[in-house]
Amino acid sequence: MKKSVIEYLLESREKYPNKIAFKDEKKEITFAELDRKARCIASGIRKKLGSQKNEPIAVYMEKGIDCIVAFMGIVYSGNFYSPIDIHSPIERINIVLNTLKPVLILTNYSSEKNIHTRQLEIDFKAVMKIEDADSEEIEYELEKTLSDQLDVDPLYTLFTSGSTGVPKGVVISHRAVIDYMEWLSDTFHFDNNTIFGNQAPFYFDNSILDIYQTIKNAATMVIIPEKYFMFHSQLVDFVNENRINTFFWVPSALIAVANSGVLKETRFCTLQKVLFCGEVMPVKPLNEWRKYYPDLLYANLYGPTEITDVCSYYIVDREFKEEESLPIGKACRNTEIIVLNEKNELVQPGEAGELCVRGICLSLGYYGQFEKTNEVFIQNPLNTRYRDLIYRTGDIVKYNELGEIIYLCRKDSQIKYQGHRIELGEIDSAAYSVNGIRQACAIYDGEKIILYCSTSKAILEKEIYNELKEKIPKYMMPKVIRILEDIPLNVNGKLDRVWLNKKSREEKARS
Amino acid sequence: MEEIEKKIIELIEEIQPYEEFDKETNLLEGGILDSVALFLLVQEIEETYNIVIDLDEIAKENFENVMNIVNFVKDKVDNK
Repeated sequence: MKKSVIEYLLESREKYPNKIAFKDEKKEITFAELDRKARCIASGIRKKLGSQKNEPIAVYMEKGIDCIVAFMGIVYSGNFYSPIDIHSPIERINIVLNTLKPVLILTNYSSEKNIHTRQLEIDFKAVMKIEDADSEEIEYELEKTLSDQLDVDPLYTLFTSGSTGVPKGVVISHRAVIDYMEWLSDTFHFDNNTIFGNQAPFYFDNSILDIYQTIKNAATMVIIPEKYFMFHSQLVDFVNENRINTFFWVPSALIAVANSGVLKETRFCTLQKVLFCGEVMPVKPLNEWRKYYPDLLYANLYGPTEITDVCSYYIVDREFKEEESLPIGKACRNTEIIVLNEKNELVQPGEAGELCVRGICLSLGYYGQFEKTNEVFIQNPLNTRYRDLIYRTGDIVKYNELGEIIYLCRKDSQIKYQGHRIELGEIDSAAYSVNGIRQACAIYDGEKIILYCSTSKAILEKEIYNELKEKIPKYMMPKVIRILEDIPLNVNGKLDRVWLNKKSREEKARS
Repeated sequence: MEEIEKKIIELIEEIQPYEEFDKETNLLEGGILDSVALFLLVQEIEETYNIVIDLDEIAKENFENVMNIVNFVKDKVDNK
């Protein structure tokens, strides 16, 4: 049985050393070359760190092949990686780095400048450029590192929005990813002919599917440059030129394609499979896809970062009307989903409850935050005999008459916007740190984020906006800012989000 | 020309009311036009000038900054 994802790389390198593994706009890399470069990096890391293992190493780079090389190098060294979203504002990156406390930061020549021109709170001696490791002599001891590796050791940590303003680092083990990969290959029949068109950023866990299915099956992953998701006619050309046959995208990206008109006017000539995950996929754009591409495989995958990307799936096998919801289906292999009502009992047919997950897919917890971890990774209330952990997702769901799970809503103020997971609380807390803000509360009206606030001094919306830009990523920025005299409190003494939601609906209806 | 420029700026400001930009600001790299904003802008331009913008015209060179957009729209209107 495999205990490290590196074993996938070793197998693919043996079988297909000269096959292209990863490709971006500028370059490509074979399995043999990926393996060699990764070993060089691992040797460079071990020169710096000695035989330390299971330590966090940040990857601070523009998205590209170099990131994958760095990830594999870190894994070879016996440590785990955490990709940093380098387009995030510096304040947020520093919060992430202060939580993670990486022992090293890997970068490359082209991203290095970015490190030095921004005020990163790091020890610059801990920065290592991957190109500098390329001439390292490969240590034979790497084999020993690998044999010492346990499958429950961490592989990566991804940071996700936190409601108090501090992002949470979700720690995922090799075992969880291996379990997920085995199920994926068996279910969707990915193989060495698969060519993934990667959309997901590497700090988002949808990318785990593309990256590790490529490594496991000696497939090929082509990174689609972000700009093509705006210019769809060029997107089609790019997909055709690279003979991409598999998409695993967020619904927003597929919806934008459907709205653009390219489905009607041109053709993705090699496309076979369209998988999606990350937010609700509405039926209307899916039907648009199915109208022009009736023979593709479509699959709706569901799951939060905390359970290793995906815990349930539905392969589209029937027609849906626009007003229907697409099911998120049933649990993946070796995973159980239990839906609990407010009394912590299993729900009755048709009753809504919170989706909870059991299995090896569960994260090892939030990095350095045991208290936060214990709030949501809890003892299964249905088991009073032995330790049995479940993850409470906060997603409210129900079963339909076919026994498929249907997503209904969130139980808190987490939202999905353009596939990004956002805690509205993170926007609130960023707004509170703007000088002159007395109260702040962000809401989502289904289309856009609106920030309501009251102020203690005269301040313009534009000024608030510009300060917020220094604190939260672009995708969290409110489209509208409204300054009110005062925001009323609810019975719990908190700002009344319900009242604000109502207010925004009224404003929307008037416009 | 100036008329078109004024109108284009107005349309972008309606979509992104708090962003600061001038004629030459790179709207794409600056994140002022993301995919949602670009989609809205194309619709607004089509309605305002009663033109149809083809798929392959929605490209970087036509939407990178206000000047590019103005030149592009002017061409479209002139050749209507």
